[in-house]
Amino acid sequence: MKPMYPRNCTLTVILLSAVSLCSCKATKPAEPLPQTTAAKESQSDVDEQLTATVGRINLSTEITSNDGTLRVLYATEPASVPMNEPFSIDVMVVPAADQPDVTFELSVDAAMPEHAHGMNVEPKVTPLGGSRYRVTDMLFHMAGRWELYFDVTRDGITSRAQDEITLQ
Amino acid sequence: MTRRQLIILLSSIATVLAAAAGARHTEAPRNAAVEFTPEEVSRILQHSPLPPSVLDSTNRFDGNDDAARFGQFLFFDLRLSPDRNVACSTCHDPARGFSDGRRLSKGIRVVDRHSQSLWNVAHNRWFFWDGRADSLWSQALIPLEHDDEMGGDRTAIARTIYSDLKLRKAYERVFGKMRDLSDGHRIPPHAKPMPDVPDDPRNIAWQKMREDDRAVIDEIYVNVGKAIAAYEARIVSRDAPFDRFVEGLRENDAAKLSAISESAQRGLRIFVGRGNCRLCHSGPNFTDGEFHSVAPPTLSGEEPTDSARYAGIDKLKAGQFTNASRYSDDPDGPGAKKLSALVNRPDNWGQFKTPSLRSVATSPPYMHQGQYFTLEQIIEHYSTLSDAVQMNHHREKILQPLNLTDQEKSDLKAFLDSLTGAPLPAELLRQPDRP
Repeated sequence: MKPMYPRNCTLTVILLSAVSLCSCKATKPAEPLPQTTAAKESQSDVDEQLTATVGRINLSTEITSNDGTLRVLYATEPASVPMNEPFSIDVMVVPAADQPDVTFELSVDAAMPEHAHGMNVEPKVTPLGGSRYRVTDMLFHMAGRWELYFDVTRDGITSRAQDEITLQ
Repeated sequence: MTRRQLIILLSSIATVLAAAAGARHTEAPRNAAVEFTPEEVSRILQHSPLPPSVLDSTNRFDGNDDAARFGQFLFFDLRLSPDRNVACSTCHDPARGFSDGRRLSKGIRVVDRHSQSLWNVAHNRWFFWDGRADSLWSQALIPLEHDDEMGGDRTAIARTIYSDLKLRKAYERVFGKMRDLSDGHRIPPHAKPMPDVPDDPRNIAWQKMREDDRAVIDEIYVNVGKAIAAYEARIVSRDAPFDRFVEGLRENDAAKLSAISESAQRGLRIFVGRGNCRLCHSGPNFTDGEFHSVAPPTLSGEEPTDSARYAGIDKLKAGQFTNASRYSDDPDGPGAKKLSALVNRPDNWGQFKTPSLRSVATSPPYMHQGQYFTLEQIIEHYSTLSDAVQMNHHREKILQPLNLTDQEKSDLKAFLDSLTGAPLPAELLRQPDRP
């Protein structure tokens, strides 16, 4: 879970965020994934590659697909998702060990489960080479809990990695 | 300590310092009649102040004083309708909060929706109840030619401007020299494209025109829309008692905190709290600019038949004057991108745009058919949902009865009243002496 806070966030929330920054990285998968060409790369290697490709970003968010077969690293731009304003996402997909070279197709969407609706826009996914993507035209138009979906399709099989973002 | 750990430590220190610096904004104010929690204060601050609207890059005349005065003159000009009986101001009367006080608005004929107020209209992302226009200037063009609203046509409007020397001079001061439009054979008195009514004489006349003549007329017509939009962008509601109260929260200023009553402050707490009003009425303009179904009853008492946003998106994408069109002054800009990213889903059926709540008390009745004459009636709707229309498909799941007490209803009303902004200058409320 990656909470996002508005500019005028509360002292309590900010302090909690600071503490969590110091103490843990909650988005790391509990179990290590099978080692692959990409997965063998250190975090800093991955950061460097992505920095070179899509500019300087912080890959602080890492999630594992629901079926456990791949990891998705992503960063939103701006870092705090703005309320009701467009934003973009830089994404890197780290494949499983037995499929290091397959071609991915990525689609991204989001929804508010408690509201039973999604976004009113269709995000555009631009491949940047390798397993990197830039997602534009994202827009969360309401406050509340959003689920962010990364659907990665390989050889006709889709794996979903998902995260939560809460707009205050 | 590794470099990464060092960065995290420094980030944490910076975060704590930033939090401390901002803490005065989030502490419960000492002098407010209601003691707001830090979370409530954080939410309240999101609603004020209203920033200036961003100049519309698709309208290079937005912000142009001459264009705005010309547009204001046209806004009140009855000659834009063929029977000289309807102007923009007929349904957007400054004396009625730039609406018309009617449930269903009446131009040439009664239409099927209520006239929306124009307060802060330049802040909108989409226009009309169904969002079938993506710019203020293209919105202004649709009622001009709608046969139930103003019933005009673009050649008549162009010829009216051309034949009135004052209008023509004002037009040319902003948009450049007009071509000679006096040849009635080349520029018919009444002509416009009407693809849905191909046999209408005005459509036949339009189709018979030379392509270059049609292009000239279209350009004039678009400029009329851009001028009207330049005026409408000045219809701004801000500096409400609520805004002074928010200044008081930021500054911990007792005098400013007393700008709204204790009852209004309690209403504000409901608004940002258990009322969930802020979910749709978000931000400084109190709207998310998007579309929702809040289940008001139809005037007929029947099931809703107005597909609203669902049809609106199709109409928008098929429109001649979109932000991505050649009539736009920024066809590759953000206004065009919002259109290309727009997606239509079945969920959009029956959804209407969230109206701004700024100066909402000035423009009754409310909802897309003017279903409610008063704010109290709307609050009652949200309190009980007893009159809600249950559609057989998508409905906002967050829409739950609030079960408000009489005091809470009164408090919410007091808060909504506190959103009435400072009066506009009198010169913006009438037709100027000259265009």
